[in-house]
Amino acid sequence: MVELKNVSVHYKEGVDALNNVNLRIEDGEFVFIVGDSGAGKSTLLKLITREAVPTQGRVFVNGYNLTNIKKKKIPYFRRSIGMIFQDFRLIPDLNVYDNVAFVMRVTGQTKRDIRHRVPYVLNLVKLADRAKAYPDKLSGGEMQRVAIARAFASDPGLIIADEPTANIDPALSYDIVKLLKEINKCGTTVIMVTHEHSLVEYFGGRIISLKSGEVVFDDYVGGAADDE
Amino acid sequence: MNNFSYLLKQGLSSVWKNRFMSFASFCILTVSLLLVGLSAFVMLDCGIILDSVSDKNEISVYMEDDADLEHIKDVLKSNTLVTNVRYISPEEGLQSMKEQYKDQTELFENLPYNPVPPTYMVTINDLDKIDMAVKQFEVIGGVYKVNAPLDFAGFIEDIRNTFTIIGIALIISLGTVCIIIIANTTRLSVFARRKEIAIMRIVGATNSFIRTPFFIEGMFIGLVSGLMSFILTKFIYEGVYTLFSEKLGMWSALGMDNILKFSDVALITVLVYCLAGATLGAIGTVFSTGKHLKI
Repeated sequence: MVELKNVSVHYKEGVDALNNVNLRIEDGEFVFIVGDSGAGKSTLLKLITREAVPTQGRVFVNGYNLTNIKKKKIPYFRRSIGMIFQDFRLIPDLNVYDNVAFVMRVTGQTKRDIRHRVPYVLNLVKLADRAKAYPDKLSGGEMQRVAIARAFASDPGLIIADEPTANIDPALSYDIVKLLKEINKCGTTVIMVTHEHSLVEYFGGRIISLKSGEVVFDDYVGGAADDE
Repeated sequence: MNNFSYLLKQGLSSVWKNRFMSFASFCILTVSLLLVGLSAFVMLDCGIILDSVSDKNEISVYMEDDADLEHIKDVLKSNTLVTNVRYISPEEGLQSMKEQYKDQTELFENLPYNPVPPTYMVTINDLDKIDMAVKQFEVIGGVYKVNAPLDFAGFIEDIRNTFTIIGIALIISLGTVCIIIIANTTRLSVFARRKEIAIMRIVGATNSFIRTPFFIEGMFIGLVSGLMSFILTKFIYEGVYTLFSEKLGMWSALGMDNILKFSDVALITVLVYCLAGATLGAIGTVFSTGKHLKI
């Protein structure tokens, strides 16, 4: 569960990134966050991952109160979320298998768990046959699927996708969102930030729209995919 | 254990990835440890020689050939500082010298006369008053020269003090240089792995997990430097030892028979070198990993 209560973020330069934002995302939801550049989307994600703290208000994620969480506990909190970035952020020296296993190693999971889990998630993102390939041999769509597998490897309660379709072929964007929807069906909450209105219109669901640091729309919208 | 082997692999592979900087750190650290180590050996040996000289608190009183030996003996014995007086005849003195310099017998061939004067070896009860005793003996009629171990002891003491200062200066200056060099090497490693570190942070790696490979890298470089310094110290020290004792036969002549034999202190030396190297390596990493670990 993600909850922001009266959250504002004011930067020193005099920029108001977020203004008195209130929102609540329940476990198992799939939410699109949309908005123009400077609307406050990045700041919102940084608050949810505890890379930033609010100037005022409180942020709760997966049972953690991020406003006063101790620094030592932040790594443990972050293990409860999976991150997907628009620039993939794969480690070039590691092959697909090791990129996915990396998260599990970092969080201290056993070799046995890694051996069981990694093939499962690679199969889920349909990259089982590319396990030994290195990132420079993958297409943009494949790299993003590796990133999704990596985010899902530790079976987090929440996945945050920061414009995951921004750097890939538009035709493949739909496959990426479908993949995230499949993961969502497993019970994982998914928050996806995007600029692409066509995707939002196609898939529908809960949409939160930000403008100038304020939530200007938060509701469920039917999508074309529902009719298929 | 699973994690440790992973971190160990990461740390060691980092040494290879930054091999040029690692090699530079290794060289600097090796030379630094070597200089400090050799200074320490000189200091320790000077200490041993000083102790040895102090044990032999005998003053040599050389006399004129025509001196009244019995009178001088009486004067010496009546001195309150004196505990024992032992006579060495010129013949005995010459024989003793021949034994000391048995490898250089040519020195004693064809001597026109015996150069060793009659001598009294005088033991005193208080080494601190050796100066006073020497002054008192010098004014006795018939005494040609008085030799006290104090001159030699003073000389050795000066060497020890000099090397103590050099050692401390080396430890401070080279220690600082080593830490800076190691810190820069680690900084390069951190920079090369900054994307990986950023991903680690966002997926929930603890600071210790992120730091450990860099610690391992620094400690490994320090450890290898320690071993290399040990090997170099062994060759240099044993080389000098052999040169003095076998080639020049000087140890016993100077009363240095008891100085450290490398084989006796090899184990402790290798441990100290490795520990010092690994510690310097570890300290160096502390200064370079902090910036990238801000949560």
